[in-house]
Amino acid sequence: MIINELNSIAIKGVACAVSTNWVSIESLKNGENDATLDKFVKTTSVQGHYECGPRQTAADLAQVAAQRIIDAKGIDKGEIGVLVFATQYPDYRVPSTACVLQDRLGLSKNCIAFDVNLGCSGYVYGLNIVASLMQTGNARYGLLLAGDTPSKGVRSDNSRNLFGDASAATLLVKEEGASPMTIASRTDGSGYKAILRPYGYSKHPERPDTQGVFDEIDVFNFAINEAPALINELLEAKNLTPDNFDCMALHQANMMIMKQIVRRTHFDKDKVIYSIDRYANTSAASIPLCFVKKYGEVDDSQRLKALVCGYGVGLSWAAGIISLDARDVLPIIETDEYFDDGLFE
Amino acid sequence: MTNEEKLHMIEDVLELDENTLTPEMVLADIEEYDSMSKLSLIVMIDDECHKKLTGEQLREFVTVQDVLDFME
Repeated sequence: MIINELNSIAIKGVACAVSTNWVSIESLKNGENDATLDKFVKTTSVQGHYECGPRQTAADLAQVAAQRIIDAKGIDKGEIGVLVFATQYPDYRVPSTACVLQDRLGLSKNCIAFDVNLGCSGYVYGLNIVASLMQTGNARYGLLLAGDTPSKGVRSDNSRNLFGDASAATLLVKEEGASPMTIASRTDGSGYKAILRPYGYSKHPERPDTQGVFDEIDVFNFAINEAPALINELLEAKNLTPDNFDCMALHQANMMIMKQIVRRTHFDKDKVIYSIDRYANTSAASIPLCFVKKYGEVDDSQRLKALVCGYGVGLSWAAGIISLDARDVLPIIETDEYFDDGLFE
Repeated sequence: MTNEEKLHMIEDVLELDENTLTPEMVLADIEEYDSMSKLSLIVMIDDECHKKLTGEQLREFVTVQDVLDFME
């Protein structure tokens, strides 16, 4: 495994935004599909998901979440020197959505901004990228944005219900004496066909009425074997045990996968925090959404040492040991705001 | 592990009553053998038989007997 040790970088703010449109599984019942949906809820724990409107994108949600952190923490936007957006649903093919968000958020030109095309592992990879750039550079603040809008893709009923739209913003601050952050990463491109959206780009420019491939069985086998193996190796390398942690936030793929990872890493079930029930599988935003759902309303200081792990499309996976304070986690934001770029009118 | 015990384990995974499955039954005809129960089957075989069932192997199963054979 590749291990990155990040020192003197603190997580000082986490915010998540969703649309105002929550679609409950209950509301989709029509008499004929009741048993199927009941089984879906039982096995996945998903009670519903948020869907953006036709003009609202992951970048719009990310912008609102980022602005909320900037306002809440009262930081000087001019000192945000790194802006990374982990997404599979960028606004445009070019340029990177992060470049547009640098301007939309009113950040200084003294800013590194780019997108990262990763999904379920995107949050942990993004923490590593932003923190690494900060550790080796002169930026005082860094913003990690992570979000997707799976509702924009062509989907089957089952995947429509399993996935939800959301974006997260996380503020990182250069701070002497901050608890170290450690991130372990892996990639296995031999499994790239397990989750594949091949159309509309260079290799397959055609756009048939199908999104691509999601091989549930291969993804399941990958997740329940590789994710716990990486977590266990990371803990062993750092000489830590699950007892050293206050909470565990896994990518919210589905409940069966998470139960297996928890079981195979021997974490106390009471320490595992979830967002899948209300928000479904929100791809890169799913881990920060766990923090927001659990700690978003907490006002008192509560130091948390957390184990995070994202795994999925790539195949790509990463596990991280991070620290944050519950009072830096902001309440969930529901918004209908979207950016009008004025094009094609 | 006897064949009967293994059959009961598969029935448990599929949430079927005991003694409803027979080895010659075709999996595709069993309504409960859906995508979620296939994932449960992978976990059960890993736990009980300490064997990794790949997607490729699972897709080759035609009858309940094929699952029983794999559980050997």
